[in-house]
Order: sequence, then C-alpha cells, then structure tokens
Amino acid sequence: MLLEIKNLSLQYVRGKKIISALRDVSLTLDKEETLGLVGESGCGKSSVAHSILRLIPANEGKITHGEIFFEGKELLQMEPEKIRQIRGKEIAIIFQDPFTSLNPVIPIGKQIEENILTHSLKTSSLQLKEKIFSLLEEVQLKETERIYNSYPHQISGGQRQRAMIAMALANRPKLLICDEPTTALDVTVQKEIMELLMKLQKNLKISILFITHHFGLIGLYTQKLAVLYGGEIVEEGSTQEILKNPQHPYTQSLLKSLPRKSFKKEKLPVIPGSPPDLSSLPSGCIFHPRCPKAIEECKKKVPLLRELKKFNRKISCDLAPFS
Amino acid sequence: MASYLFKRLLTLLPLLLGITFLTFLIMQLAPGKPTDLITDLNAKMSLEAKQKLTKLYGLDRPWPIQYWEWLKRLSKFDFGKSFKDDRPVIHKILERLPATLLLNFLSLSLIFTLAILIGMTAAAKKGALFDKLTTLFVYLGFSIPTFWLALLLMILFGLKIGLLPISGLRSLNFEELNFLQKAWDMLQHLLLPVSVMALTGLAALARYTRSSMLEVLHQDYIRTARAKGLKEREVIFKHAFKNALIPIITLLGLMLPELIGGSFIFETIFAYPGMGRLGFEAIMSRDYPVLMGIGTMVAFLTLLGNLLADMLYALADPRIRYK
Repeated sequence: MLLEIKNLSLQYVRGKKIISALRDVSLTLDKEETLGLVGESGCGKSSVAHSILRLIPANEGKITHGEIFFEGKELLQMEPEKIRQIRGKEIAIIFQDPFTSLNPVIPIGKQIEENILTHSLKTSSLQLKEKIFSLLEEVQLKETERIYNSYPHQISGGQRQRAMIAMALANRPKLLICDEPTTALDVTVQKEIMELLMKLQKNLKISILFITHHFGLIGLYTQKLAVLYGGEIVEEGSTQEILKNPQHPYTQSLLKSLPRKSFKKEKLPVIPGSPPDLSSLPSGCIFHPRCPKAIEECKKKVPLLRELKKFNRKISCDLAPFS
Repeated sequence: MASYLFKRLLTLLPLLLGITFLTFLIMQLAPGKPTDLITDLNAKMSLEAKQKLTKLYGLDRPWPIQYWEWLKRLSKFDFGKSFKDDRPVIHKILERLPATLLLNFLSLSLIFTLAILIGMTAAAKKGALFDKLTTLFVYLGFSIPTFWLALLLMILFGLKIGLLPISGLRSLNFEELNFLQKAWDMLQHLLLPVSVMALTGLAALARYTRSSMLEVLHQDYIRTARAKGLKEREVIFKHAFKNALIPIITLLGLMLPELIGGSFIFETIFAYPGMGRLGFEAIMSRDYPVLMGIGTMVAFLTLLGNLLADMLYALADPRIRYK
C-alpha cells in the first residue's frame, strides 16, 4: 500500500464559524493504481488533496484527528523539514487552474528548474537545462525552447497544464495528486491531457489520486472510486461496479442526474435541496434531508461506513443494499 | 518600447505647462506682493520709489503677460533671478539641492529597506506578536504629526540629554575639521531628521507592503511553490516578494519628487539648508521666480517619477508590455 488515509477530520475556522470540512475520511491507494475521488463542489475533495501534502495554512484550517501514511511513514506528525522533502519529490500535485497556479512573473523553465534544484544536489546548468527540455518533450510540448523562456501568460491553457505536469513529474514522484486537472480546460484539450497523464502513469509507474466532479473521466481512467458527500465518504469500491450498480442513495441520485444521449425532452432529474451547511450539520445521516429513500430512523442514527460484502464495497447507508 | 517612451515624454509637455500655469495663478491669488517686504515695512520709501520697484520687477503688467514673459525665459532654460537677493534662481536651487538629496536619499533608503522587511515579516507571520506590534507601531507612526515628534525629539536629545545638534547640517567649526570629523559632524546633524522622517514614512509603506504581501500569499501559485517542496524562505522571497513588489513600485515613483522637493515644514523645523526651506522662505517673501523655479522642477520630477514607475512596472511584471 502506497497511501493510507485513516479517519481524517479537518476543520476550517471562518471567524466564529467552525466548518467541519472532512469527517473521518479513510482512503487507500496501491502502487500504480488510480483512485478517483468524486463529489460536488465544496464536498471536501480538494481538502483531502491539500491535507496529504499539509498545504492547508495553520491559520485557516486544522486537522483535528486522523493519520496519513505514505509508504508507512506518517505525514501529519512529520517535522516541517521532512514533509518539505516529500513535497514535489515523492508526492506531487497538479492543480485545477494552470493559469493561477503558475507564478506570473517567473518563466516556465525557471519554475521547473526550482523543483529539481530544491530536491537535488548541485547539477551543472547545462545538464539542468537538458533535463528540463526532456521533461517538456515528455509532456509532448513542441517548441520547447520557446516554452522554456515563456512566462505563463504567453502560452495557452493546455500548454500551461502540460508545463504543470512536467513540473510535477520532474523528480519522478511515486504519487501524483491531480486536483481537477482538466476542469479549467476545454473539452478537446481535456482529453489530450487525460491521455497524456495515463500514458505517463504507465511509463513511470506512478499512482494517481484523481479528484474530479466529472463521472465520465472517472469511468474512463480510474480503477477505484470514492464518493465524497459533505465531507464524508459515502461509497467506496471498484469504479466499474459502482458506476454499474450504485448502492448509496447519493451515488444513485448523482448518476441519475447525469445527462445522457438517451434523454430526449424530459427534464433532467436533479437532487432536491442543496449540499449540507458544514458549519451546522443535519442530525443523523448527513444525506437524509435530500435522500429519496430516507425513513424516520435516518434522522437520528448516524450511519457508519461499513463493508457491503455482496457488492464488494464500503457504504455508509444503513438501508443498503437496495436492489 | 522606445516609441511608447517618446509618446509619453511628449505628453509631459502640456501637463507641465498646465501645472506651471496653475502655480502662477495661485501665486497671484495669494495676498501680498513681492515688493511689500521692502516697501511697506520701510517708512522712508516714497510712493514713487515703490512704483519704480514694481516696474523694475515687471509687476505692473497684467499677470497673463507676466506669465508669458516667464514662459519665454523658461524656454531658454532661464529661471530668472530672485526678487530677494537678485541671484539667479538656478544657483539658489542648485546650492540647496545636495542637502535635500542627502537627507531624502538616506531616509528613503531607510524607509524602503525597513518597510519592506517589516511588512513582509508581518505578513508571513500574520497574527503573531511581531505582526501585532507592527500594527501598533503603524498606528502610532500614522497618527503622530511629524513636526510634533521632531520638536519632542529635539527637546529630548538636543536640550535634555545634549547628545545631538538640533538644527542645520554642519557645526560652526565645520571648516576646521578633518574629513572623518566632517563626516561625523554631518552624521550627527542628520541623525534626528533622518530618523523622524523614516519613522513616519515607514508606517505607511510597511502597512502597504504587508497588505500587498498578504494578498499575494493567498494566491494559487504560492500554494504551488509550497507543493514543490521549496523552503519557506524561497516561497516568500522568490515567489511572493516579486509579485508583492509590483504595487510598491507605484509608491517609489511617487516618492521620487519628494526626494528632490524636500519637505517645507520638516526642513524649516530643523533649520535644514535644503529645497524645502528655500521654498518656504520664497513663499513668505513672495519671491515669485524662486517659487516658480521650484514648482516647475518638482512638477517635472513628479511626472518623470510616474513615467519611471510605469517603466519599472514593465520590468517587474512580464505581463505588462508597452506599445
């Protein structure tokens, strides 16, 4: 096992409000595996990603309990200097918006270079430049010389995201976290980037934690899937099995509300209500106010994530299985 | 870039003309005439002599004509002669300029170095004791009137303790001193004015740097820099600082004219032989040519300072290109 998140709970403080962003989130990721983490905006997907690298500023949020093991080493209690050495070297991350995520006043080449220099002993500048060029070629960028010298605003969105990938992979990490890597790009570029990521994953034998709200991409590119709702994992298992036969009412409603070709004129089904207010959680099951299958019991009892042997997955609904 | 610069320089001319026109107009609106000091305060002066003097200075003609005459002289870079002692205005300005330059260069460099360091540290450690102390210091610096603080310090260090000279730039026996003693003498004279100027100027700029820095620290690319495993020092100084510097450049441009113009109140309090006091004296005696000379120079430098700031912008921020 490469990555193991155990009962991760995270709170953000906004003035006097305490926002309980993640509650007892547990996930595992094996070597060379791709795990999809899916959910609506604000459900805590990115918080999971940022927690792994401890990128949440101390004055904004606090991990209240839980452990994260990476190759057996616990990350949350690790000394700042040790975690720094893991960031960008063992675990790398690609963010959603490649424009705001690259420094506007530093050329692309320099931004990749830093990533190499900070984790290695002195390399000659010629070797360094060669290495950066080969990284840029690896992510299928043409005109490497021009890209190397360009500032982020001088290249296209797709090129920027490729540069981000080159930067992330510069030190050959074991785990790559992709936090909605294609959301800010248009659909054709999205496909190219995804194909590139998959190809690189195969070649470099890396594991990917793929965060998205896009079920289409999840189905195509991940083996395992975890569905996050209001800061809790509601269903987790093999991607294909969950997509084929979702068991949690939330996953079911979510999949039903996806537009399909077969839809003609009837209205697209939606999940009634809105995501829970994380500063004042509903009683009982977090999904009960919107759940089509909720019974009186659901308002009182908090369901635990439990093994559903028959369907080969974990689920946090006491009423399941339904079929 | 070159053609842009040329265009900008061309637009400076009408602006400068407008400023001198307004200065001239306002000067005419002020009560009292340049000749008052010599005539009205002198009982022996006959009416005839008074008229003769007015005519000599060209003050009997309507003010638009006076302005036109002044402009004609200026086109030959002739600032005219002082009404007070008949010396060329340019000489009077040039002999005062070095003292002002020295004082302002010292205090401005002190202000910029300290303010940037304080502002950046306060931002990096937001909410910590250091940040709170600087906030307090900034409030004090903002609200304490310069002249009042100057007077208090003069009383304390000059009279009570008797450690520092309270006025001027040189001691009476300056000419008899050797080089080192001269330098020491000037340093002693400069200590109070420089510190008072720096103290009050520091507050605004430190606060400005802090807020600029705080804004930058929330940007996505700072998170990327941390995710790459850069040391916190590199994140702050390489990634954040470059971006936070951009708005500070505006202030630098605005401070340039102050560097040469000097402060009227400040130099008068310290009896400092600089441009500010020259201006103050010129106003009190309605010495039009000297006033116009200083006004024109400061206006020109203000415009030049703005232009310089715009040029520096392009250097600091690659997204800005002038055409």
